[in-house]
Amino acid sequence: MMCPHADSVPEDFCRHVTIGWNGSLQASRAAALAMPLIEAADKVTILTTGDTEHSATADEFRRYLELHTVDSEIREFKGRGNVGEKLLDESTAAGAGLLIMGAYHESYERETVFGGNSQTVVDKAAMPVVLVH
Amino acid sequence: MAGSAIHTIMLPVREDGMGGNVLAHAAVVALRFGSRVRIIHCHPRPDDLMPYGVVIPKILRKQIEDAARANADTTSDQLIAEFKTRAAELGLAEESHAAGKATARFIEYEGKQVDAVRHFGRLADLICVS
Repeated sequence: MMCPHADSVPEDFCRHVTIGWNGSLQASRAAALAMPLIEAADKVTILTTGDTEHSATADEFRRYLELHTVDSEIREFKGRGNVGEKLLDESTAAGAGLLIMGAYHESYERETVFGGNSQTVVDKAAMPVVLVH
Repeated sequence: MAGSAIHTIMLPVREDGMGGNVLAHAAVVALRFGSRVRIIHCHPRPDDLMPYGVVIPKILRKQIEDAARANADTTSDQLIAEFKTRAAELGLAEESHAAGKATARFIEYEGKQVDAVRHFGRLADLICVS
């Protein structure tokens, strides 16, 4: 979990959680490993662009969370390519205190040099983010 | 399968002044789940401080090694005191064997932070960094 530089912990930290979902292996592992945080949250929002061809959709993921007795809502946004900043913006707009996402689908070296979702989030996040590789 | 928990939180720190904020975040999670927070203070091995590709006289090598050890001892004592105070303020007790109680323990690690994460992080449920 990457904690932003701040004087204090936000009050809504861990209460409202957003999950970046694109159907990837990294996203699914992020959800599985961070399940205690997801289950403990008061509110869960799934962020997706809807672009999940040949992989589980956000609605399927919502039903998966229901098996863990987690109610969630889906928030779809437009975005292609590097959506890291969009994930942060949408999380803030949704009023979330924590973002959970898969990370470094591309290698760390490649993302550091050429940029990518994960590197953008690491560079620009002003909220706590759980990154799972 | 509701009711999964975070049992262990790892928190690697060094003398960069960022640890207090990360500990505050870790404490919120620890208090929620009754987790054990492992604060790992990483300080470099004297060998890692040697200039690379330069011939170093034995006496200078010894000076660097002595200075590195003295610095590690000083900063370590200071950091332990600071973190113990901060952990208590945040509601984390000293580590005990009581299950389900939010606790904190300070561990010294000589080496790179990346190696500390490799060592302690793989058996942690959550790694908190700044």
